[in-house]
Amino acid sequence: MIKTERLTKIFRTEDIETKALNSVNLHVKEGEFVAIMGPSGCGKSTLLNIIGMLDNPTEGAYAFNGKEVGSLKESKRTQERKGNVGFVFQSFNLIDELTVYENVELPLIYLKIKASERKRMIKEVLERMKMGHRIKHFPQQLSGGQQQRVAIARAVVANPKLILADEPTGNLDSKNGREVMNLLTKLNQEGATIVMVTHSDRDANYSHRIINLFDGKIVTETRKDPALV
Amino acid sequence: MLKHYTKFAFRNFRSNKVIFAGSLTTLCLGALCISLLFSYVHNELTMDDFHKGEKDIYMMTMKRSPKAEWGLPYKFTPEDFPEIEGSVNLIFFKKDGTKIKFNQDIYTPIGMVADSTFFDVFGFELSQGNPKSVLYDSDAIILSETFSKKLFGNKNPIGQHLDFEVRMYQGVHTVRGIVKIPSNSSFKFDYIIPYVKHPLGYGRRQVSFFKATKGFDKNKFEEKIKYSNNNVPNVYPQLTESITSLVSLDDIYFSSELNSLKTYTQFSSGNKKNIDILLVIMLVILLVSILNYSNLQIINTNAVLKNIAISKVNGALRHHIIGQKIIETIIIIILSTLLITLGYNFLLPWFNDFVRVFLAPPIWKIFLINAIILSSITIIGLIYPMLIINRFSTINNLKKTNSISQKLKGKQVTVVLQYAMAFLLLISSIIVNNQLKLMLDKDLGFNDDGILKVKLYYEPPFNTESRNWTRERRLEEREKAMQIPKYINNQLASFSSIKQLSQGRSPLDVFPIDWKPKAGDFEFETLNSLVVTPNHQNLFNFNLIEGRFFEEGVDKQRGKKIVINEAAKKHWGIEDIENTIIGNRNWGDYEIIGVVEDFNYEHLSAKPQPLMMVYFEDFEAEYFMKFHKNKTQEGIQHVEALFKELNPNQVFKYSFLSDEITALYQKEKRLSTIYIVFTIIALLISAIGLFTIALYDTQRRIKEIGVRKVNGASINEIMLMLNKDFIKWVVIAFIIACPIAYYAMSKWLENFAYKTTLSWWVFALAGMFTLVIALLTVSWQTYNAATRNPVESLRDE
Repeated sequence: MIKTERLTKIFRTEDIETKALNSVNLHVKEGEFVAIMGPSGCGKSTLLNIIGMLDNPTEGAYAFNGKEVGSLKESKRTQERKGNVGFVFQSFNLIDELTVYENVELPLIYLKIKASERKRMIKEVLERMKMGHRIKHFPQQLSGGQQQRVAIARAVVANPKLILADEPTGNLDSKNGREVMNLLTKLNQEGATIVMVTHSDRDANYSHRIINLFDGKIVTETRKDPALV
Repeated sequence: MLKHYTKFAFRNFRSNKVIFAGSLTTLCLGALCISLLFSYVHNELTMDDFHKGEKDIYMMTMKRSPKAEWGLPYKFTPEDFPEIEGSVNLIFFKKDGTKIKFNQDIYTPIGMVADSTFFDVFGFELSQGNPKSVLYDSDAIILSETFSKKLFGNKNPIGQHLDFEVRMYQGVHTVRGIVKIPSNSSFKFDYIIPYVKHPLGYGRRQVSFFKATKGFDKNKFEEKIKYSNNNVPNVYPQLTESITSLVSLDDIYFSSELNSLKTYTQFSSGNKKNIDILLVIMLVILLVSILNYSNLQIINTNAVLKNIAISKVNGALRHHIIGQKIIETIIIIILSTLLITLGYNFLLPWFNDFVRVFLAPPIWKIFLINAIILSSITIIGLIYPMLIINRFSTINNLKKTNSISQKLKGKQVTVVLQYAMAFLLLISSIIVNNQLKLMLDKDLGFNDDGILKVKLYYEPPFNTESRNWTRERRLEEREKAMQIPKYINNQLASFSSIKQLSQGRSPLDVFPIDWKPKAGDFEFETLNSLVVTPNHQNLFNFNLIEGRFFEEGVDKQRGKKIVINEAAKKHWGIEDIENTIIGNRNWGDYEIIGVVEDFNYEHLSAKPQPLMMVYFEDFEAEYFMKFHKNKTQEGIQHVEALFKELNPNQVFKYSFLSDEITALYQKEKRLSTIYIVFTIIALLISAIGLFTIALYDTQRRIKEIGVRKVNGASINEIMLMLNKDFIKWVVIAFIIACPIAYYAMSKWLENFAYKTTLSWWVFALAGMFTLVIALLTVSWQTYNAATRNPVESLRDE
């Protein structure tokens, strides 16, 4: 599903050049649950952003589902991303002005799904996330764990094949964190491919494979389930 | 999708209330001002455009000699020219020269006698009556809608009988038509009387208009008729040098050359300069609104940047983001348009009263104008914020929890420009106000204090039978008529409340006529002349420099003597008044008996011009009187009783000379008020912008403030730090605005002979005032931020 070759990302400011990613080769198969670990500033998030087609690599190739997307323009990337990739962030990134229901509705609107169909899909996903009783609430009225569940609901409502999670438990206490990880595992079991950036060893243990990044390079890979490799 | 956009728009308004309220106020205030001014300016600029083919309608004018002013030709027969499609002659009456009596009430409206072709040449429409036939009926009268309302209220005016009276004629006329006079007509009147063959007035007030055929060449025609009035030297020996010319109806309103002609026709005058000033004010308000809106939108962009990023992550394309913005903008435009349309209709009566026109545009027009103004403000205002939205990448916006407004330099530029404009208006309004005060307080060189002006005697209508009277009978009748003025004089003399009295014309009421010194190489030129009686000197305190003023018993009225002013003496370089004879084109030669010191009988935009004073007794002339101390009320009551005795049923009118002088400055007064009002609005709009920036900027710096306080900064130091930036912008704006304001106002002051000084304190005052307002606006926010407990602000992170 994901195949990168010599993926390199360089950030340039006026006088400093930072190599965030340095020739990264990463393969993720459909149905895999991969955790990316590493110290702050090692390029984890940059890698995730490129995988999620939020950003372009400076050099190297990136094929998503067999299609080269590494050099697409932003609008083309959005088209590719739509319905295929769901995002979960550390800081939830819910829109404060929209209710739980409306936040989850967001990707469906841009996919031009009919209102009645949207309603059914949102109801279903929120029930699964155990947020069905909170649909009229605004994000600020929810706890962190609840907010993250809404964010996950939004990420998966359009049934994307790939879910990208950037430290999804970073802002949560351990109980809520555990719950979120269980949800992700369940989604993975139902067929979603998951790539997750995390600091936490415990969270990483939910995955099949742990990739360690250091200074923009993959230093080690730990396969937990050889059957999947 | 539309539903989502709309819902999201309202949610955005709710969560950014200050920005929303600020944007709405900016748009409403800005567009309301512009649309009101626009209605007025548009009305002025489309003056007389409602006449079909107004460019092909011409008025005949004549100069008696090259240096004289434009007047009316003595003779013109349009029938002789094939280029002329149709023509109409109008005979105007003196102001206050007509009386219309209805139900015991007497009115003195303004109007004219017109040929039956009136409605063929002019584009006026009748709301009642048939334009083809109404002017053929010699006992008809056509009233304007306004005058008809005044007479009959909502009753049907058609068929009502009115007593009509002018100097040489009186008769009963029946209302046969009601004419609509549009607000953009420079030609305003209360009534039209159909042309009747017997003389109704004076030939000299007869104005000829004609409509030219297609392809008419004005210059050729003027060449053809140039000397047409000089061909009758036996009848009009004074016209041998005259030049006849044409003025297009379209040019009459703004023509300043025709000013003296306009005083005895019913055409009003416009001032292009004032319109230019209004256009500048409109432009400034428009720019201030655009800048402020742009500013608020930049701040708004900051506030919603993260939401945009989230939407993008969830599949929104650029057109979705733009679509969202467009819907938000459309909602704001619709809301403001509705509010403004309400506000416009609410303010229009006041505005009309203020600018002295009757504007009543239909509601859809107001709606449309405002929608256009609002669209241009929002579209131009959004260009920069939209560029910013595009410039920032999605990931950065997601990552950064704080806003990126540090990078938005544009905001500072807009604030600086906005304040520069506000300064410009503020400085101008102070100077206009100073100039007005200077003119009102200026010593005019004659006494106007407490002098009452009143007209007591109206000559009875001309008796047509008198043509058959014998010489004895005439003298007898004249003697009889003389009794009334004599009676008035005796009565006035018996009023103990009156201290001083004179009859004649007010020093402001000069008339143009042609003069030149007899000896030497001079040409006749039109100069201001004033009708006086001997008492004028003492009453008005004219300062005699040479010779003497008219004296009762010594000088005869209409004797061939004049008193001139210093300016006239200088004008012709007269050295010895005793040996100089001044010729009048119509009245013959005059001997100079005295010279008075110049006094300002005109608007102070000009230094005193040459003035010729003649001693005429005219029973219809006004009386001027000064009362003893504390006797004014009593005196007015006596005069009123006398007036009522002489003119039963007529409304008693009087005025004070000082009020008439103030009235001369009405235009400046209105300009000054307009300046003040719009300056306040521009400052208000700018304050909204600064307030919002302060609000969002200090919010952004909450953590910084916390850190500084933890490290020992005092509230004062924090306030100083926060306010310093805003003050810097205002100061830069001030530096930009000063030279521009200085230049613009020196130009404006060139219009006046007596100018107020452009002193430094005007600029300092404007600077201080704005600075204080800006400080108050900003401190409201910064104080809150500075006094906040740092523990709280740091815990937030």
